[in-house]
Amino acid sequence: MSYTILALETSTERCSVALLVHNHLLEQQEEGTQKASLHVLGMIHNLLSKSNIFFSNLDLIVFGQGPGTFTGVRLGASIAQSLAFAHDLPIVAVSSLACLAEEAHLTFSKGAVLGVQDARMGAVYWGAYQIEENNHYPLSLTPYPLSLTLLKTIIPDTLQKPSEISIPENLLSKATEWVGVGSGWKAYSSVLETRFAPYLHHSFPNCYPMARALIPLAIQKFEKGETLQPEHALPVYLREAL
Amino acid sequence: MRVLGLETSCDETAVALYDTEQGLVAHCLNSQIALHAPYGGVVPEIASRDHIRKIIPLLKNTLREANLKKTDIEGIAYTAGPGLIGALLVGATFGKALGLALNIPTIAVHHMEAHLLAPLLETRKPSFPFLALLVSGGHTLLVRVQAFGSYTILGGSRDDAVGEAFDKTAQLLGLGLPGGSELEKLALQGNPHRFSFPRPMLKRPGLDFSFSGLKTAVSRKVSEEGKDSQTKADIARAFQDAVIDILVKKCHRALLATKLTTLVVGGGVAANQSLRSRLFTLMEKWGGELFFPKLEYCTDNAAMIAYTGALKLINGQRDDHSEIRVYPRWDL
Repeated sequence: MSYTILALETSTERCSVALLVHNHLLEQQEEGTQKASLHVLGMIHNLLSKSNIFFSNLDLIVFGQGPGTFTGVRLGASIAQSLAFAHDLPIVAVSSLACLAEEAHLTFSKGAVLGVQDARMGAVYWGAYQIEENNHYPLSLTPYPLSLTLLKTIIPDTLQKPSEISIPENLLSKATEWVGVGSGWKAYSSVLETRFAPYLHHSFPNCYPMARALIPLAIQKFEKGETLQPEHALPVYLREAL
Repeated sequence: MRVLGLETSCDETAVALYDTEQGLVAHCLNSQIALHAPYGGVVPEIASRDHIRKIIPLLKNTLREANLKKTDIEGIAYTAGPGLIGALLVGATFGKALGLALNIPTIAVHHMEAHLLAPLLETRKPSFPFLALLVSGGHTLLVRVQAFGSYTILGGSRDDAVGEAFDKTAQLLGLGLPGGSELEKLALQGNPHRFSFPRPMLKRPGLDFSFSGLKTAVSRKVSEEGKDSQTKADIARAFQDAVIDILVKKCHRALLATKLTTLVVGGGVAANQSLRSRLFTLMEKWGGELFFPKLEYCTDNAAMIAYTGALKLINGQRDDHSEIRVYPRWDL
């Protein structure tokens, strides 16, 4: 089955939008937090009109629900809510750290990902994920080798000080090569690299959660019926408002 | 033209539908006052988080109340400022995205302009030109409203807004939220002759206000005189008398300067009964007309946003870009 999906990822300073049509992926991105709100609707409009797609042709909307910048995750959630409400579309919400892990898999083909995003105020949002190829979904999405993978959560998304991050030995040793991704690996590189030295293959602080990586995750959630009504498509902040 | 109005500039999420032929069709509102009460003031991040939870349920209620479908909406007006940036962004983002999705025009609305035009939502409404006194937690303004789109600011507060002064004084007196109405209740039991507070900026010419000195005077009095219940009531009374005196005298001065014969009073503080009766006396002597819009149009609401947006849209104004822009500080 060929899905038509709009994906939004606005939880970091790199805002991206992707559109899947006939197993073909189009995408657009913009750098800078302030710029996201200025450009994101234009980006959506561009992708749709380039593909001659109307909102009513979409099968679903997926957005990265955070954790990330408060304003950023609200931007994505609010747009997803509005578009879905207007056309009675289902919404799939995906963790932005899961998205980051999937993006790392797409880019570096590594199966074990430690996603760490700088959360400011001496803390990070982090989660550990493991990715396996899923042979039940022999789908490839051009131009990326996007195949439907199985993303397993090893440690669920958490807000902590970088020095408090820990993964039990038995879970760490499940994979021989972990990759570290996300801005946390720049802000707290020495703490994190020392901590995970024996298992860490490499770290890529400039790897961001991208809208394209939401798509394979969204298809699986959608097929499992994990969709939301627009008013329930809300950000995940992990941090209290105060 | 049926216009949807969205208001999320502070601690109220509001949605309304205005029809240029039928008038206001429906409006719904959710106040966050209880969420912020434990913190003694509006917490911006809490406000933003609640707006995004409430906007669709309120929109659904509004459509149900209006007996309309979402495809009946022909234009969208949203508050673009002034207000809290994160809070404004929720309404602006939702509104702009909805405009894109439904392929209908959107228009940014200035929250204060909407307040100035809110009295026109009533059946008995003032005609242009009129003098408007806006008194709320965020603003103290005297404005000459010549016509739609033509406003002259005659005076404003140099520091605290009058509603803010009410709230802060209520806090000093240990009263709960909403501070203004609690203080008004307490002042009813107060002795008007025991204390007297200064009336800042009354001796100087001009139409500007200042309330921070008054707040300091109250704070000093509270620490000097203690907090027994009668003293608190007496302080509340003296404070309220001072504020009302300032507002009424400045209105009088503005009437003299502009020769206008119509006064319209809006904003949450307009609910104060003593202020209402003093202004009534003033306008009787002046031989002019006085208008108090219904409280639901006085305080923050989306009816005034939908109405102002509708006037702009039928006037040919609309957002000419898809950028989501808000203006936390925005001059009228």
